[in-house]
Amino acid sequence: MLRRVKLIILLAVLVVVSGCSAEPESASTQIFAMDTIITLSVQGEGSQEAVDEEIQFIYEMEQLFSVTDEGSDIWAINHGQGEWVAVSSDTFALLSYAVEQAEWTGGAFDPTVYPALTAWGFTTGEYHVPSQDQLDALIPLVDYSAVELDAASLSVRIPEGMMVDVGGIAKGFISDLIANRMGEMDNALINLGGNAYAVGQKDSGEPWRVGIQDPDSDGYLAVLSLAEGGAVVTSGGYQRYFEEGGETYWHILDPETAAPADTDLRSVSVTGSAATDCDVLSTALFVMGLEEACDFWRANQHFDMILIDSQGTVYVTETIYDSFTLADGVERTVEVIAP
Amino acid sequence: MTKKLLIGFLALVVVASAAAILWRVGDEPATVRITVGGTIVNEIPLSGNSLPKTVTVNGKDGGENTVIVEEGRVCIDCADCPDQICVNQGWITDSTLPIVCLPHQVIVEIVGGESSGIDMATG
Repeated sequence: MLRRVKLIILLAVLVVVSGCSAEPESASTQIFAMDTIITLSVQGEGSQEAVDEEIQFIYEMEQLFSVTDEGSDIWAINHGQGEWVAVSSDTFALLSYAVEQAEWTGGAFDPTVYPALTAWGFTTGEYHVPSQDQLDALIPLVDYSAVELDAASLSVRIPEGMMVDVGGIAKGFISDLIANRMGEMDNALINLGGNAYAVGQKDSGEPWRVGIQDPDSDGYLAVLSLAEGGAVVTSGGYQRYFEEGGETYWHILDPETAAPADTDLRSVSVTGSAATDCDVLSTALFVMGLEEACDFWRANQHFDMILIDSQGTVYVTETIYDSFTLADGVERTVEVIAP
Repeated sequence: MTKKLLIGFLALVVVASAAAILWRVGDEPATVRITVGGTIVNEIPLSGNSLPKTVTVNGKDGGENTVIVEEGRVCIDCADCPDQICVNQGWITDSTLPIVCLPHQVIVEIVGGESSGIDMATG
């Protein structure tokens, strides 16, 4: 009898102890960097080391890519007075890709829009509407095609008065680099200020659920399920904006006018396997507007998107329609974008 | 005697382990956590008789953010930061989307409580 009791207790202990050890190793860290909030959550053996390493990596990249830090590569290019400036291979790779993406989007994304952003006060938060004369003077300074890149010497040259800024692409670029290194982990969630990237599989085997913020009220508008992980990046005119004289001015500028994009969209979410492309496209498609964005998707179907227009109607590309659900209590018209 | 001690010890281990697991699994009540530059400066239950509650947070660079906690939700009602992004964000009701005031390095987030079933947020 005693032996049986002992056995039962031993079994119970084993079950409990194994239950404890089944809890996988995990680590999570939140930091302020790159002018945003960054969260890394990693599960798997060595997760704490992995998180620490990636945080260090983010700080290193920030030092290269910052537009305001006097020691950065970008600052050196912007203060090169029209001369060639040697940069690190990471900065060169990022800027080369930024220029390529600018071409790809027909200039709707442009890494040289910074002087215009400054004129509107979006870089400091001291918002004001510039005069049309000021804007006219700025328009020729926004021109990605004037960025010269020399791969042999890893050097960059821009005309005097112009400025490059990788704010619209660097978070995606860094997310991709981190995601690539997370292959050995069980899974990872990388979130660089709303640039969300899920790597690997969830413990439960269920798909990841990414909440998309409602541009017109509090909370979520919809949830996107990602069975295989991937990136989701959202841009909209509802977070960084100001109002003056009854008009709303948002921070996403049209490179052609140097003024807030005259768009019929409120918010653009782009999902795909490359966060860099999602980052660039969320901005570019917002600038393009509904019709042009749909045409662009039909011509390049390696990403998917969720668009919300100024009437509140939601447009979802056909490929992800089954992975898309409106959040609890949200009622909107949802249209499918067919190829 | 030794056997009895052993059984007693094992039983204790079982109870302690089970308690530890239950404590871990059980939902901790939802709490609003306010941090400045990574340091927790205030924690307020997201539910209860003390609500609604208004709290002034002293952020970096002498900035101030006014936080309002109501039953089940929290927002930054006003702030003297230049960009007003934290105020524009409005109310949050779960842990996936913290309110962040970058200029003041203030984070207002909900910890604990029932899981919303959402892993990550974008917007």
